[in-house]
Amino acid sequence: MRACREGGVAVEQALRELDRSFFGILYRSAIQTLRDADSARDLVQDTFIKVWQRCATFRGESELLPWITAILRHGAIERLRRRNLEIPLEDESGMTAEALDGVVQLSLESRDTPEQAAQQRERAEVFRKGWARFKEDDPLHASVMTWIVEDGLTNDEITQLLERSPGATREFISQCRKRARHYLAEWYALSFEAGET
Amino acid sequence: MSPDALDNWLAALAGRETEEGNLEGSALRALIQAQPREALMPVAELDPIRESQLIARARAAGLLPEEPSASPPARVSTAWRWTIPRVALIAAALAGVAIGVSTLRTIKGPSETYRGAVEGVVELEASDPQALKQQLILELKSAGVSAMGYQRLNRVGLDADLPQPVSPEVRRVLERHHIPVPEDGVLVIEIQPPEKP
Repeated sequence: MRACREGGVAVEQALRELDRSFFGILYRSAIQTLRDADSARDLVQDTFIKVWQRCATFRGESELLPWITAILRHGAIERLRRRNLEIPLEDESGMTAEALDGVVQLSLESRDTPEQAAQQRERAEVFRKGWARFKEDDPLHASVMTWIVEDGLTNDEITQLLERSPGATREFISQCRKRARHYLAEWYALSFEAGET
Repeated sequence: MSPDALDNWLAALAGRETEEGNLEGSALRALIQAQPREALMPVAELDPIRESQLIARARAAGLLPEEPSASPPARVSTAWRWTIPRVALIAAALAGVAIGVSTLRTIKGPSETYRGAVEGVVELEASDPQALKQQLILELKSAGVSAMGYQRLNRVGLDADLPQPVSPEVRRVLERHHIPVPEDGVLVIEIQPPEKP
């Protein structure tokens, strides 16, 4: 940050230090989101450039890494934005709220018998596959959901991250839920069928 | 879907406790957290090539001064002496044509085509998306609505939360551009240039 004020030669050294200190952790995050090594590398370097272009806005009292991570995420979102996928599903996927809660409750209950434990494992595997497909097909919404889980993002924080209006952010969050239900439909269905029997 | 249900889902996904709770959000959170991290190739902390790329990008972005050129300017060969004026003439002619076309477009005024709405996003097609975006922002502002413009990659658009009920002034602006009034008051517009044949 001293280099930010002084500029000139100090910036070059500071950029090198930035690369050595943060490239690894940011690259891992970028590749998880973009799923492409070259794009991830490009995004991280782009992030470092933006860090210096915006360094005057950095408030010293906050941690540096979260601030840089936020810039990285902005960049990732920019790259991931694509035309919205059309998900031809009703919002509740044909289930009532009570039924949905029931499905989830079943998946959360502890499984005591070997048979129940096997069912639990099967559901976990179905979830893993569905989630992997979600990340592959729609990395933007899946990534934002992951960041919500990792960092406990609030509505306001998501609005800032997306740089959209509160209403558009709300629609985006609704899309996250809708798409999760689409890609994880098998997991919901499996749990539901298990509950019926 | 009630607004509270989505808020509760988001809160549970983010790990925040709410009065009502949301089992679906909590289950998704637990399962997303349980997903194994993908194994990634180790990243070198110090990578001279990577650093050189970063420094080159910083120079290109104007963060660092240009490196002084080590070699004297190359002599222009006889062949190039004739080629360059010819290229310059062609470029000037093309520029003239481009200016002419641009002037014609300006005289005609910005025009747009309503292409439809996908999941609440109104899609417009315009020969100059930036100009139309600015025009819409200004027209909405004059109708008392603050719209937020954005540009990501080659996508141009704007968001606005319309005050309810939607005023006649705002309706007139939307009607003028053949934009349907959003039922939920969330106006999201994307403007694209016409597809090339």
